[in-house]
Amino acid sequence: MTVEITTLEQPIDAMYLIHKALRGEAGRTVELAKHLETGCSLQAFKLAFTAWATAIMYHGEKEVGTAMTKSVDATRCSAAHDPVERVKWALLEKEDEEYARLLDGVLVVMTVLEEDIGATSVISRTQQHLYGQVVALRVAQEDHLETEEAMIISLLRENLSPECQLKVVGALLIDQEADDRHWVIEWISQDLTLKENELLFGMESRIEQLQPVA
Amino acid sequence: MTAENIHRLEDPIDVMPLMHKAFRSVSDRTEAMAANAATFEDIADLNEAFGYWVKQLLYHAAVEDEVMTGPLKDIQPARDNETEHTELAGKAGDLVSFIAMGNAAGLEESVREAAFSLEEEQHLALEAKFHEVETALKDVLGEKKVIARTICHIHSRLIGVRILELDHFENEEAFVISLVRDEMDEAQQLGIVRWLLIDEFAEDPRWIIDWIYSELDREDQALLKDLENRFQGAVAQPA
Repeated sequence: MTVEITTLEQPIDAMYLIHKALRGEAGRTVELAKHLETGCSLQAFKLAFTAWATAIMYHGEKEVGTAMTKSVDATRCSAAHDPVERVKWALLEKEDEEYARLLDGVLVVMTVLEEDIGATSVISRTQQHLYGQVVALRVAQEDHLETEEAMIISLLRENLSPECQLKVVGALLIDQEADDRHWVIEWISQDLTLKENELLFGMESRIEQLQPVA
Repeated sequence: MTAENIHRLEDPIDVMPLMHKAFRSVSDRTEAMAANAATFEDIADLNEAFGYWVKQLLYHAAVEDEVMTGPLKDIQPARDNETEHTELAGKAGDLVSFIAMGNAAGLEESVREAAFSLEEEQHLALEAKFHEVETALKDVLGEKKVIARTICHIHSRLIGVRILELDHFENEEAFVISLVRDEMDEAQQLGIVRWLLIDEFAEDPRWIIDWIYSELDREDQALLKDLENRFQGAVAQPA
């Protein structure tokens, strides 16, 4: 059951909206893989997987080595004595590796698509392999998102100013390098309820006020 | 030959696709259980179902290695088949151990992976308080999420075992059964099949064959019954 996000108390909470969209992509891709039948076209699966993989890659790229991990004052890390706090800091430092693990999962699915199948239709054995790999990728993604929600987001809430959080979220939601800078917002929007979309567009306005988008 | 193509068992070894069909049924069913699991009680039920599947699988593989491929000396597909059995048993064993870790197995696995990638100094410090950290994490996530994560990990691993099993059956049907057909006469094949279906050393020697009957449709049951009569008759005949 999907829970509706009813409020964004702090800008960084917009991550929950992004996570919801990533989970939506994962769910659709796994369902398509599960129901691939021998001899059927792979087109729908490939489209769904490409959308999911693109989202993972963009999200990971923007989280890692950019505003999110760099904005936090690392000196606070050494002051953390509580075991949970220490794990939170350790996990934040390891975001790059977490992302790399997810990318590995994406590459494995791509390898199955290219090497095992190659052609455009499915055979039973490769359907199973494809299904196994996308389920594994979804599990890895879910671990990552869940841990991020439980540990990293709370850390960022406590350690980043609202302005700084807006910058981090802005980098995640608005693709400054793309022809269509709003593609991420549009992509997330498809998996959100009306209320959640209002929150998303409200956040977009705040980001644009802070850093006007050309 | 696949199970779908069988009309009559010309060679006794042709019972193998029927046995594989039974394995596919139990593995599909167990995977569906994992996909629908939601509570700790569901994991216990799943553990029981998976344990039964593994018990059947291990007996099947051990007997095949001993009496089917064992005598096929200097034949590579026979050795490959045995290697696949080892891999399958390893992967199934890993999952049994994983389930035995309890309802926080998924969390433990993911947290340990993160902890092990830390610098040694950090790692040692963390490892010392590992259980304390884990308990705190369980509190942060909540029991429901901890169990859900474990179920997801079990499901994914179970799919892995099932895929390995299906690949193995396909390979065996394509490369090994024809070898057995060529290299062994009917009496030898009946002996192998009997070993595979009847466990003489068990309290209930029919625990395998009865399970296979239960997984097959009426048509396949008739084929199996005919074969059972053949190997029981062969045993009854004087040497």
